[in-house]
Amino acid sequence: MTMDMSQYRALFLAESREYLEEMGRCVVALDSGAGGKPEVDALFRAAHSLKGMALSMEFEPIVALAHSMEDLMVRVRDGALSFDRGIGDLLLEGADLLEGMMQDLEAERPLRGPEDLPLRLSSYSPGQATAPKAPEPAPEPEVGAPAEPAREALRETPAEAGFEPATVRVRTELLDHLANLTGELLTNKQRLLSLAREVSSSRLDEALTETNRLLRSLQDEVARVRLMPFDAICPRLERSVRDVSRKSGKQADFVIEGREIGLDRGVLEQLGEPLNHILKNAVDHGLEPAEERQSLGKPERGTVTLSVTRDRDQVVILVTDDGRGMDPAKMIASAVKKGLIDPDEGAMLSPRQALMLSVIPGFSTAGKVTEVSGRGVGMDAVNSTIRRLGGILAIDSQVGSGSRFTLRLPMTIATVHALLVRCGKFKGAVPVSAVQRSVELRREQIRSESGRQVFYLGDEPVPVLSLNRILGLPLGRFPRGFLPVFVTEVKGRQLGLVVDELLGQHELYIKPLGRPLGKVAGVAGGAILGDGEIVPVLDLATLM
Amino acid sequence: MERRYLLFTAGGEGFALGLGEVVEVRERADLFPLPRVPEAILGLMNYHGNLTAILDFAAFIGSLGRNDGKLLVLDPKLAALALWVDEVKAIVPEEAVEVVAEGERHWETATLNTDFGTMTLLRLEGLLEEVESQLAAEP
Repeated sequence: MTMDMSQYRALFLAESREYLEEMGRCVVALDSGAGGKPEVDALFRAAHSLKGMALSMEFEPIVALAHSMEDLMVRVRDGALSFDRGIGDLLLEGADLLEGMMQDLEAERPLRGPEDLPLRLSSYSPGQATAPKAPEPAPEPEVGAPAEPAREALRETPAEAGFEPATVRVRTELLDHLANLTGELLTNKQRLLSLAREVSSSRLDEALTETNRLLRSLQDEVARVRLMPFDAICPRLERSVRDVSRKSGKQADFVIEGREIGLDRGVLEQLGEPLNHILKNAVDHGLEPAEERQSLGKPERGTVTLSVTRDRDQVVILVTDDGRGMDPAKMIASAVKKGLIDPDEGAMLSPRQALMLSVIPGFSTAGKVTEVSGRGVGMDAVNSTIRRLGGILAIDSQVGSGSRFTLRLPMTIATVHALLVRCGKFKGAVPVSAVQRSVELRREQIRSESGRQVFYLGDEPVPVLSLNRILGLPLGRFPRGFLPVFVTEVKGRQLGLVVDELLGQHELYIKPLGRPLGKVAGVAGGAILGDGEIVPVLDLATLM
Repeated sequence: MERRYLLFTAGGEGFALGLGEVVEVRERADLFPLPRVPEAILGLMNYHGNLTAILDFAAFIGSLGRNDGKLLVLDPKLAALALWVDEVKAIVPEEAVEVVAEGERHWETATLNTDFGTMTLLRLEGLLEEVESQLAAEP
C-alpha cells in the first residue's frame, strides 16, 4: 500500500522554492566576488536538502537533477573545482529547470525531464561548460545514461546537511484570514463607538477604550506576523541584474542595503515585478557601456544600488544608478512627438513632472527596443502597482550622473488612511498617499487657460477636473461658493479634483471586491465604515 | 449526492441555478452604490464581511423586475455576487426536471422543463464572464 503524499506537496513546494531562492542568492554572490565558503556550503546544503525532500516524495526527475547539482558543489567544496561563471550558469539553469518542475507539480501534470543537464553538471570542467567529460571525485552515472543516484547513498537525514527547523510554518491563507478577522473587529469597534455615543455611559466608554487598546495591540501583532524581510525577494532581483548585465554586455555592480527591513507579505509579493523592471531599465538603459564610461572619466563598472529604509510606518526603497541619467527636455520632446501631450502642456511641465512622463502608457525614450527592456509598457505598470499598494513613485535624474527612483510604500496594507469624499449620493475613499493636499477654492480662483480650467498652487498651474464628471455623476452646486478640491498626481502631473464634500480622514481596512467586480476600472477595493456603510476605494491612476 | 436545482423567476422568465451555487435566499439588504458600473449592478452589500455585488437579474436580461423580490447570495467561494430576482419558486431534485434543449447564450447551460414551467439553467462561470465583459465595456 502506498501512502498518499499529496497533502505534503504544498509544503514540499514552499520549502523547495526557498532552497531555489537561496541557490540564486549564493550564485550571484559568488559570481560578483562577494561570496566565499559560506555560499559554497549553502549551495551544497540547498541541493542536498532538495534532493532529500524530493526523494521522500518520490519525485525522481527532481532527485536526479538535485543530485547532480549537489555533486558539482561537492567538487567545488572539496577544492577539485574553483567556482566560476560556467558553474554559476549551470546551477542557475538547474534552478530554473527545478522551478519548472515545481510548476508541473502544481499543475498536476507529469514532471518535465532533466534532459542532459545532469550529464552536463556532472561532466563540467572549466571552459567546457557543455562538453561531457568523466567527472573526477564524486560517483557519477555512466556517460549517456540518465543520472540515477544510488538510493541508499541518498538517504541521509536533513541534519547531515545542517538543516534545523527553528520556526513553525503557517499557511499564508491563515495569515490572511487573521488579518481579515482583525479588520472585521476594527470595523465593529467603530460601530460600538457610534452606539456608545448614543447611550452615553462612562462604564461603557471605559470598556471600549480598553477594547480599543487591545485591538490596536492585536492589529500590530498580526501586522508583525505578516512582515517578511526584504531579503526574501533579493535573490530574484540579484539574478535579474546578473542576467540583464550579461545580455546587454554592461558591467554592473549591484548593491543591496537594508535587506533586513520587514514589509507586509502582500506588499513584498507585488513589489518583485516593479523593482525588477526598474533595475533592468537601470542596467540596460541607464548604465553606459564600459568604453563610454571610461571616456567620461567614470569607473568602468557601473553601480546600481537598491536601498531599503524605514520611515515611521512607511518603507522607502531607493534605486540609484550612476549612469547617463534622463534629460527632461528630451522626454518632453518625445512625449509631444508621440502625441501623448501637446506642446503647450509640455512647456508647462517642471523637470520633475517631465521625468514622470515615463509612467504614461506607451512612453519610452529608448532609441530601440532591446531584448531585456524598453518596450514602453513597463513603467506604467510599475506606477500602477505602486499606487495600488498605496505607495508613490518619484523620479529624480541628473544628466550624466544617473537616476534615482524612490518608492515610498506602506509597511503593511491591512489598513490604510484614506480621505473620504462625497460626489452626489456616492461616497468614495482615496488613500492619503495619493492626496497631496486638500483645499477649498473660490470660483474666481479657477481660470481658463489654453482651454483648460486651472488654479494656481504657488507658481504652478494645476488643471482642475470634476470627480463627479469622471464618475458619471451629476455635477455639484456649491451654494457656499467654495469648491472642495483635493490635489493628486496622475501620470506624473498634478491634478485638482473637485468633489461635493471632503469628509475627512479615516483608517480603513481594505477588502477585495472579488468576482465579478474585481474588473471595475478605478476601484481598488472597498471598506466598511463604522456605521456599516460600504465605500469603494478609488484608484485614481486607473480611473482617469 | 443528488443534484438539486433552485428555480426562480426574474423579468417574467424562469431560471434555475445548481443549489450548491447558492448559499442563502434573503430579503433585500442595505446597498451602496458603485461608480461606472452597468445599471444592472445595483451596488454593494455587506454579506458577513464580504463585499458582495448585487446584480438586478431582470435588468441584466433586459427586462423589468419587481421591487419586492429576493436576493440569491451565491457561494462566496465562487463569486462575490448576489442576484436580485422576482421570486423563488422551488427547490427540485434532478429527476424532477427534463433537459429539453441546450442553452443559447454562453451563460446558459440548458432549457429545463419543470412542474413550474420552462426554466433556463444558468452557467455561473459564463454569467460572471458576461458581467465582467460588460464592466470592461463601461466608459
